[in-house]
This record gives sequence, structure tokens and C-alpha cells, in this order.
Amino acid sequence: MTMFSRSILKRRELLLGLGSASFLAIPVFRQTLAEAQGGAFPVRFIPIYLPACEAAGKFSFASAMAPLAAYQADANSFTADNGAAANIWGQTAEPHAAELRTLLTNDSSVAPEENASVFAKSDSIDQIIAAKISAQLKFTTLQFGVVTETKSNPLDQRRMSFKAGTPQPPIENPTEMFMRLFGNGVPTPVPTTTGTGTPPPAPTVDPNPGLDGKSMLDRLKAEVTALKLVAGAGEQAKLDQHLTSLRELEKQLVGATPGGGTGGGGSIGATPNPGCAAPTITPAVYAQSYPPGSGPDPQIDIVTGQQFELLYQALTCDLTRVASMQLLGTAHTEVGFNWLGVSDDHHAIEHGGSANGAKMDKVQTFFAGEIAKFLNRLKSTPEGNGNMLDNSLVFFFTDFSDAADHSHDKIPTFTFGRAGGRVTPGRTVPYDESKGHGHLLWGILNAFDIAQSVGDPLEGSAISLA
Amino acid sequence: MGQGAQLGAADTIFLAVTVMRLFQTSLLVLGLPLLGAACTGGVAGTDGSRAGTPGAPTDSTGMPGVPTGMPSTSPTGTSTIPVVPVQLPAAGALGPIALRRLNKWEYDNTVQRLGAAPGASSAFAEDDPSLGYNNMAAALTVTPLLAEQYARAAKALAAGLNLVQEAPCADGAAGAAETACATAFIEQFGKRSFRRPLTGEEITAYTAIFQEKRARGDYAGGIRLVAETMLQSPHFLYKTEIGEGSGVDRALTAYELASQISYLALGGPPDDELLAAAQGAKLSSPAEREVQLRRLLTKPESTPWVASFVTRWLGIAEAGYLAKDQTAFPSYTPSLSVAVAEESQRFIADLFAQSNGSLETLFTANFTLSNAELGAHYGLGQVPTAWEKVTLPAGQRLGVLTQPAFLVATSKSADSFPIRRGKTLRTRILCGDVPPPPPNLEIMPVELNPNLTTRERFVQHQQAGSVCASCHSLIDPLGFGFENYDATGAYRTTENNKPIDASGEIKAIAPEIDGPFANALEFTQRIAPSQVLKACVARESLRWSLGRATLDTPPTDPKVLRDQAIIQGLAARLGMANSDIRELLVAVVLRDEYGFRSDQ
Repeated sequence: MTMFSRSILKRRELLLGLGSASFLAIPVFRQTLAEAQGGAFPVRFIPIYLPACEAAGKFSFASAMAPLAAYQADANSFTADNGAAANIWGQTAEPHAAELRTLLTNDSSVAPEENASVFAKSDSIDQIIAAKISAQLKFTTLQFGVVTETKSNPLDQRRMSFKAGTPQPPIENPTEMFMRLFGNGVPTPVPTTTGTGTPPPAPTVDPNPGLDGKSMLDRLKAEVTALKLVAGAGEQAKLDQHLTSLRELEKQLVGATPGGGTGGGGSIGATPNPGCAAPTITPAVYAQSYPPGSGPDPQIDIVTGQQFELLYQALTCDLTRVASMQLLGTAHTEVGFNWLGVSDDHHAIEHGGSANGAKMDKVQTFFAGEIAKFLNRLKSTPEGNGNMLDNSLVFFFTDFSDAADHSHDKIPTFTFGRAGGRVTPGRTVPYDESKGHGHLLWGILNAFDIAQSVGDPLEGSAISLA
Repeated sequence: MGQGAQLGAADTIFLAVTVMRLFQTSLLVLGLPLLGAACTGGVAGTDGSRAGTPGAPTDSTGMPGVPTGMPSTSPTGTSTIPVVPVQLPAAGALGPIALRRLNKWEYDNTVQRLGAAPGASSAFAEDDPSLGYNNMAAALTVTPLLAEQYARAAKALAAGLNLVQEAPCADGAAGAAETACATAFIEQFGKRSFRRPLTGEEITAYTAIFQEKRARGDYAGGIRLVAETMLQSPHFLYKTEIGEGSGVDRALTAYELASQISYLALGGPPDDELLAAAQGAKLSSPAEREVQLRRLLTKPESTPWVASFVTRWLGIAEAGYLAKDQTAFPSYTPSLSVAVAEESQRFIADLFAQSNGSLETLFTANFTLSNAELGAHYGLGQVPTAWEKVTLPAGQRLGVLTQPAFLVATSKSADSFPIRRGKTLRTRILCGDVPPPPPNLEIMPVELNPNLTTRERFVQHQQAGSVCASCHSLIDPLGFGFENYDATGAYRTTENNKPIDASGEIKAIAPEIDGPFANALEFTQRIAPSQVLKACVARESLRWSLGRATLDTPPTDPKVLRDQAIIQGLAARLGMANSDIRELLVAVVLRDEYGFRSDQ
């Protein structure tokens, strides 16, 4: 059961009036970048989540999201009901406990009891897409986060990315992410199809570390494999996941070059853009102190900028082609936004009624601005005949169409970019009550040539991005 | 901020309003079963009956909420355990083969035993909780990120530990002599890392790792790589419950048993005495297991570990993380928040040390541990200057449910939240069930009203015949009983200048405790000696002890019968042992099934 007709006019719709889609549809055109470029450039997928946007009329380019208006021509705008979230709401303990896990999975199923409702059973679409387009890279996927750990609600769930029934937590510390990405050195750009660039140099580092990794990982994989022979059926999936994790680690420690020893980068098929460079990261306060108020507030403004820059460079250096960004946690009641002059926490603003509308606008506009900077970085980085944004699909989504009412109806959502020509941007896709958020995820999968839907069974057809 | 702050607090109250939506014709078939169940379950109660009548969701976990197979209780509430003998499976295994990944707490304790400093896991991703506990096998996996964090930690640990000191080799030793030194190290470090002696194959394999690395560097580098690898081994990262044999008769090895007992008591690896007992093959004896467990439970490091079970069961483990609306509660400072969490730790430690770990005392103690700031929060006549045992204000508080940690954890930021309190009391403390809300709930926040009490604002839930009432009549009256405590746990007799009504009712859980009560004190005094509470803490402790869900459906399944029999046995032991919570752990290791696992 996935979709419901919205036959009854609800208060929200009365308030919404004309709805949130506020920019005019732009004539459809389809640029076949992949053809123009011979398909030589990486196609990327970047889901970005921002919680509980005060979306009623505000989640549009004309309002609090104004910083994104410059990218309307690169954008598609959707409004779709999240039936999965609505279903799951009724089955878990907490109002906020379910939405996030449905947003990339469309999975409203009740998890097995031992998983106690915090996990989605379906893989999230970032993981599905990554397995297809990014598995050979140093990182199959990366999960970035900005102050996502919210302890204000003990039953809360904090994850949006799932693989094999296991949540994939984001990294909130830019310094840690920097070390992951560039701790072994910056990958050297390799010749692109244009023939410019420099050939990869011989490794200048001691090859021993790579051999260490090989020696170690060969043994670890052998041990996990041997355990699989004696562990029961119930633990096979866990050990399979462990093996997968070791192979992922192997790409980083050993590199993909047979015999190892590349030091850093070195993934098969990686095509770093000439703009690849390690950014400078100055350590900032990235985590909430507990109890709140007992330490310095997290420097959300600085950390958000750093995380987006690291995300940009992870893509530019072709360390991965699928990376998610989770901005804040759901039902966040700890952090304020003092640099914006907003001391209230996000949750309080959400439920603060019209009096808090201006505060929500400030917060939303800030994050829209950070996303806009990121889009600008992609768009101003040439790649083939176009730019990196042309070869990417940025999926910007939220969990409520009206946070105050916890409404899952007509949630506004955006994509940016063309996914290498697979997506036709510049459109406002009209609301269709027979198609929900799951159909949009289905359409995104289709855009990456994955002919399946995800999560709950769906009727009808995908929302097409083509 | 006045009105603005009031409005800001509106987030805390929601009323559920169901809008019966029309299904698309094409989806009618798919939607019908769930809709049907929801309608029946949700609407039951319009005639005054509770949901759970025929047609309502009828799985075995349904109300009255006592796990299937639990003893029934007499209406008088006197102890009647065991009333219904549960047939034990003839050949008993405690459960399926399991691999329980060390959680962060266990990882830290394990590497500390190897010489590492505390906090080695501080940079690891959080252990995702399941069923309220962070040691559940199904939830603890090795994600790519964690594998990477393990690798980094192992490298740092191997570099930081003085391994050469542990594995000295005479200067000038070379070739076979040096390899012998390394092999000795592999055997010793391996045994401590894997909590068992290494197999011959493992010694050979790790010796090969040493030799390969030695050929590229020095002796120290060789043993470092060995240690680095061992610290990422699945035999290090998982507590295995695999054993030997086949079918339901797989017997855990003596060393697996030693680890089971040690991590149960300490959240850490076996000590030398326990390993020696394992080596002597003594642990197949339940009596010897009991001796070892009791010995470990007296260690100082056992107290915070077992206390962590209690705080997680009660849902108060993260109370110290919670902030409150600073406009409404300017006195709820970060230091008070820390004190609230610390009170739980000190109170439970005191309970173990001074009150024989008594479950009844946990719920009815007229004392607590308090410092100055907390004492002021309690409104104590004589505020202590430092942490000390104090008597609670008479007529206001009794036991852990009236301590701020529980009250804070079950409130919202700016006001109490009777629904959450009621649901926690019903489902977590008493193991009762609440039917799931019907799908397609339309959730509407309820504005705060300065002229109404919190209780009055929930009147919609109580409207006779409303879909809400069928479930909320089971939840809300429990929470209302705690309305004498605000969102910070401070005691109050009025709200918005109106008197507090803290009367409530336990409905449809078990005859021995069902019925109206005047306030939280009456509630907690009623449940404290009850069989329902013993059965609930027994089930919860079993989940925590085994790191898995307990099975309760279908009721005739032998594995369900096994779990329910064990729970019943644990509850009975509480009745016999002055209700010492730690006896629940003893009772587990005494089970004949403790040393056995099944293939499936």
C-alpha cells in the first residue's frame, strides 16, 4: 500500500493556496551531453537533505530558497506525497522517528523486531546507484553530515542511507573527512579525453604501507570467509557486509593497482578533474556539546562550508561519484543559529507558528546559500563541453511539506543538473496524486539506467526525469 | 519572549486526528487488509470496550501485554509464580549461532586490557540502538566506515602499545630465533585479543605476516603489523557464539563461555582467573559459571555496566543530553542536566551497594543521591553541599520514576508530555502493548493554552467514540499520573494557576495492577511488588544479556516457549532473591541451555 488519493481537501491545501511551485516551467530541451562527450566523464549523484523545511510557500525559488534561484534552469521542481512516511508514522513511537529513513528508501515496512524500527530494510537509492556507478572508485559512497546526531529524542532515528539493512552514518567532522579523503595524498589528475593533463607519476612514497595493507587485508578477508563457513544462516549477511567493508577498505589502503602500492587515489577508472585539490580545513567545532550549553556551540556556518567544499573536492578528485549530505538531524532541539541572530533551535522554529516564520526563512536561506555555493562550484568547473553540474544529479529533499503540521503531503523537492544528459532540467513537474515520493526515487534510479523501484511496491510508472 | 516562547513550546503537544481517506480504486485490494485491521483496532472502544476485542490485531503480543507464557496472576496481586509451568524444550539451545560485535564500551574495555588508554573508540560511529539497547547483535555490524575507523584505531594502537617490551628478543637474534620470539608474541597477544588461544593455523598465518613484513623492515615493524591485523580480526571484533558440533547441540567452547560471562558482568574481556577456569573446562558446569559471574559482579567496573542496563531499560540513559526550553526553565542549567544524569548513576550504584540491588527499592526508595543544585531542584529543606544520600520530600517522590532523569526524558522541551510518559510506562516499564495507530493519521499540533492545564489540552483524546480514545485511553491516564512533575522534573501542584489533577488509571495490563490511582506515588507503589514488573524486567534483561530480541510469537513455537520459559524463570528468581536485579544475570548463566546454540 503506497499511495492514497487526496480526495479530501485539507487545511494545508487551503493554506497553501497556489502551492509552492513558483517558477514558470521552462521549455523542455534535452541536451545529450553524454553523446557530445562520448560518455567519458563521470556521472554523479548527490542527495542533500535539510529537515522540516517550512515549505508552505517558502520552499521555492521566490522565497526563502532565493539563493538557489540562479540555478532554476538547472533545476526540476517536484511536489509529491510521501506515502511511505505517512504509513510508517503510524507504526513507530515517535512522530519524527520515521520520515528520514523513508526518504531515500521509500520503505515503510516495519523492521524486524530485533532491528526495532530504526532501520530500513531496503537499500537507499544512493547505495543502489553507487553500486552501479561508483563501486570501482576509492569510496563507493561517502556520507557527509552537519550536526546530525540529535540526542534530544531518545527514540529518534538519525540515518537516511541504508545498505543491507544497516544504517550508513555520516561523518560530521570535516577534519576526519579530510583525513579519509586526502590522508594518503591528493590524487593526481590523469589525462582526460581532451588529451591535456599530466601522466600519473610513479609513486613517490614508500611502497611498504600498501604491502602492509595487502598483507593485513588478505588475512582479514580469509578469517571472515572462514567464519562464514561455520556461522549460521542468520549471520551470513552480517559477514557478507563485513567482507564488503574490507574490500572497501582495501581500495583505500592498497589501491586498486594489482600488487598495491599506489599510496593514495589510484582507483581503477578514476578520472580526477584538473581542478582536484585538497582544500584547507581549519578545525572547527563540529559537534553539539552535551548537555547543550555546556560547551561551545557547533560552528554550523563554518562546518557546512567545509563539508560542501570537501564534498566538491571528493567529486572533483573522483574519489567517489555518490556522496550524500545530511544537514542537521530530524527534530533537532539542541542547536541554535546564533550567527544568524536566531538562538532558537530548529524544532522550536518549526513549531513556532507564524511568529517564527522570519527565523525559519533565515535558516533556510542560509542553507540554500550553501547549497547554491556548492552548485556554483560544480557549474564553474569545466568538464568536457560542459561542466561538472551537467554531469551530476543533485537531489535536494526534505521530510515535511509543513513541519508544524507534520504534513507529508505535496512535499516540495528539487533536482539540479543533468546527470550527463539523462535528466532534462528546467521544469516544474506538476503534482500528480497517483504518484508519490517513491515514484520520484524510481525516476532517479531510471535516470541512472537502473530499471527498478525501491522500497514499498509501487503502482503505475516512475516520475520521469528524462 | 513571552507569547513567542509559549508558541515555541507548541511543538510539544500533538493530537492525532484521523482522516479516513478514500483509497484509489486501483489500490483498494492492496490497501484493504491494513485498512481493515486499522479500522477494527482503531475504532474498537466506541462501545466502551478496549481494542483487543475480536477483530483487533490479535498477535500474541497484544494486550494484556504480559508476554505469552507468563504466569497469570491472581486478582489479589499476591505472588503466584509459577502458575503455569512451561514445558522446556527437550534439547535446549539458548538461541541461534551469533556473532556479537563489540560495542564502543566493550571495545574500549577490551583494548584497555591490552594496554591502551581509555577512550580508544571515541572517534567511532555511534552504535545504533535497537530495542533501546546498544549491544544488540543484529544492529551491530561492520559498516565500511567502521571498518575504516577500526583500521585507523588499530594502526594507532599498534604504534602506541609498547609491543617490543611485551615480546623482547635478544639483540642480535635473527632468523629462526627471532621468529620464535615473534611466535611467542603472536600466541600471547593473540590470546588476549581473541580471548582464547590461537589455533595452529592462526599462529602459522600470523607468523607469515610477521616474516613478510620483517623482510621489508625490522622486528618491531613485524610485530606491529601482526598486532594491527589482530585488532581488526573478526575474532577480536566479535564475541562469537558458534561452538562445536551441529544441530541444536552445538556446545560453546569453554573460551566462548568465558567471554559470554565476562562481557555480561563487565562489558569487558575475561580476566586470567576466568580464562583459567575455561582452560580447566570448568565452565560447562552451571555452578562454576555462577561462581565466576558472582565474582565478576563484585568488581567495581561491573556496577556502571549493569547500571547501564537499568538506565537503558528505563529509557533514561541519555537524560543528561537533554536541554530544556531556557525561557520556560532558566534554572535548568547544563550543570543541573549533568547532575540529573549523575543522580541515576549514583542512585543505582547505591542500590547495588546498600540495598541489595532491589527492584522494589528501585521503584519505591524514599531517598536519592543529590548535590547542591539538584537538592535545590528537589526543594529539599536542607540542601547538601556535595553529593550525598538524602531523604526525598515526603508525599512528593518515591523511586526512580519520580526522579528527574525519567521525567526529563519523557517530556518535551517546554512542558510535560503525558503521552510519552504514558507510553513509556506502559510499553517499557510494564511491557504492555499499545495497538499501532491506524495509518493515515493526520497529525495536528495543539496550541498551548495559558488557561488550560496540559491534561485539559488532551481532552480530545478522551472524547468517547473517537478513534484516538481507543488507544490513548490506555496511554494517557498513565502519563497523567505524573503531572505533578514538569518538564524538568520539578514538583508542582498547579499549572497555569489551575490545580493539577494527577489521578490516573492502569488499564488492561494485568488484574493485579489494573485500576485507578491517585498519583504517581500510588502508581509506583502498586507496580513495584507486582509480578508484571518482575516479568517485564526479566524480559528486558534477557534481551540485554543475550543481545537479541526475545521471541513471543507464534505461541506454540518451541523457540518461543523456550524464551518465555526462561523469562518466567528469571521472574521467579527475582521473587526468591529479594528482587535483586543482578540475580537476573545469575539466573541466565545458570540455565542449562546457556552453553548451547543451534544452527538456525
